Amino acid sequence: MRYNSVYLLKRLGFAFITLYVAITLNFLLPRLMGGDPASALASEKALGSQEVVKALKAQFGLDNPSLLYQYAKYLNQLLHGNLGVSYANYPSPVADVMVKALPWTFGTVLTATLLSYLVGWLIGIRGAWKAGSLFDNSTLFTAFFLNSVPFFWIAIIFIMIFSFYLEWFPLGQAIDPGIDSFSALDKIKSVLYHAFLPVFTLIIATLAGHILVLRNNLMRVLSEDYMLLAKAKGLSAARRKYAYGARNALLPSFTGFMTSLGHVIGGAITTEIVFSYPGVGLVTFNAILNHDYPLIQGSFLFIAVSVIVCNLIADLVYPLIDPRVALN
Amino acid sequence: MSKLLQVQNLSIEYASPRGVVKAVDNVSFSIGKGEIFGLAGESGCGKSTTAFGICRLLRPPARLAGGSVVLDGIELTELPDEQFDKLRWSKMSIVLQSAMNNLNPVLKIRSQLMDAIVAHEPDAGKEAAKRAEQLMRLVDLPADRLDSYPHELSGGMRQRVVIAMAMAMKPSLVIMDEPTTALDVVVQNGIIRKILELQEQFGFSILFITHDLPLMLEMCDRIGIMYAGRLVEIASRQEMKSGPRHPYTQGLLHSFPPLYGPKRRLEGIPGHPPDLIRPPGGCRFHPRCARAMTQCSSREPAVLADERGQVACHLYNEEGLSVEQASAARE
Repeated sequence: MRYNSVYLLKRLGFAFITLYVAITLNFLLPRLMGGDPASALASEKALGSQEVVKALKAQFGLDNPSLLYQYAKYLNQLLHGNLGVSYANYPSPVADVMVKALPWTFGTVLTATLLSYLVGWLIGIRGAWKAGSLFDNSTLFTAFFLNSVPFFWIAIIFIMIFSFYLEWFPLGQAIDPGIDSFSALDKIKSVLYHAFLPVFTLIIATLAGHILVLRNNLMRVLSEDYMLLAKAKGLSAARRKYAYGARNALLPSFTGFMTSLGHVIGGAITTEIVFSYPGVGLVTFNAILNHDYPLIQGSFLFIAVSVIVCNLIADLVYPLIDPRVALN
Repeated sequence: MSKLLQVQNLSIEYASPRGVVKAVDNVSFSIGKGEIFGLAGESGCGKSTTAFGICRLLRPPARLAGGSVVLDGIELTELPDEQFDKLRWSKMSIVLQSAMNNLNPVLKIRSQLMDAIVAHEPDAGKEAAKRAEQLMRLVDLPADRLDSYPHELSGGMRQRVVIAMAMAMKPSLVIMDEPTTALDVVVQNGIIRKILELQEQFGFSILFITHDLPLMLEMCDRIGIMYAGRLVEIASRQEMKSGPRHPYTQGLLHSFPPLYGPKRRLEGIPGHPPDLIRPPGGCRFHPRCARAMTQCSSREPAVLADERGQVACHLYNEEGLSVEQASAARE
């Protein structure tokens, strides 16, 4: 093992502190937005009586105006794994709403993130290795173009062309309405059919950054003396390209990659809105519109935990892939 | 002494937005078997570029513009890349400046020593591991350092590793480009001793590049002096010590303080090296030369080769006498 228990404990401790701060901020932020969701909910459901509003407030923990009281109640609930009840989806618990949205987000955003990094890195490596070639110039040009186009615009254009005019893909949703009567194979087909365009859009939107970063990193590595020496040694092009070049060029991208993985769970809000895709992003967006504190908090909590966990993993894995990182 | 390396009229150019830079212009020299040949000159005179041109390591925009390089009877400039790659390291290895980044930071020393061997002998396997240990012993490093990463070694140890690496395939020529420049004097001394010891043991030839002239006078058999892309003088160590002929060489030698003997004023050379896109006509050194004559700015000096070496300067005519001496002899 390349690291000791002190390092491990330090990283873990740091992760816990970050988590605590995140939870506290998570509690405070929605309350700064103002509005009284209990009254709104009561009137919306035509339950105008004072008693109902009062009961709802008690259920949501809003009966005591003291922030400290609400905070203590929130922490206590969290410790018991209770994320509260969604206002907007009353009486569904937040956990249920999240669990319903999570698989969709995982399936699309995780796939898109992994593919985007993989393809972006491969293109970046090849471009830098053959710097100045036709391949390099055309990928560079495309990457700069994609990088300067707003992402939602790409998504809208894709929907317009592929879903609206060509009708190759659906306009929204993650699965066909009558899904329950489908066979397993048809279900899979339907899911893939609905997921394709959002995934493709996400890849297109993030690919350019990965290409440019890796190409730049590798260009810098290629000018190092050890690359010259590797060539002088008569090493094969493959060994120079991967074990000497890409291996070093990928190091700075690793942390970014892990952070992206951490954000997967938050979904891709823009994509999910444009494609009406029922993932965590859309749930969060609607929760904010509805002043749905518990749901906002639940969603942010999921995101915070996953980002913190992924960063922790990055911290623990990085010393294994870069021997220069000191471990004390 | 039979010739191991023969460089004829080597020219190397860089394309730059302002025009073509003639970094190396018609350079010719040869290195005998087991000889240590030094190449010296100011920064940017083309000495490293010459070395990289010989071992085909020029990076664009640098390119070979002409000339021939013959190593052990093989014309290198016309060799296809695949054949050249086979020749690399087995016939000719290099040691670069002892900066941190000579070694791949993410690979262990063992793997970097072995991959050089395995690249040329794919079946070496276990034997390559054994050879890696021998190589470490060769440069007085403990074999357990094979499992270290480069950053865990001191600068001197890293340079020893690089030298050990250069010995891996028992090459006949080792090109050393400022191998001790980044090291402190004490470590430098140890490295130089080690290089000389290995050279004695294996009998390879060395092309030694440095701007440290006193060091060169210490260890090289013959020395070539480059100025602005041209080789202006070649002479044996003894000739260099007793009296170099080219005014530039003289200036260069006077730029270093003597360790022994009476104190003297350091002269240095006034001015700066020229712009190689538009080098001065005639002898490239004439704008800085205290002994410049009228023909120096118009005519390129011919190379005079005699028993004292070779020199390209108008001060010396065919007989190797200075012009003053020649005119005195005629009267």
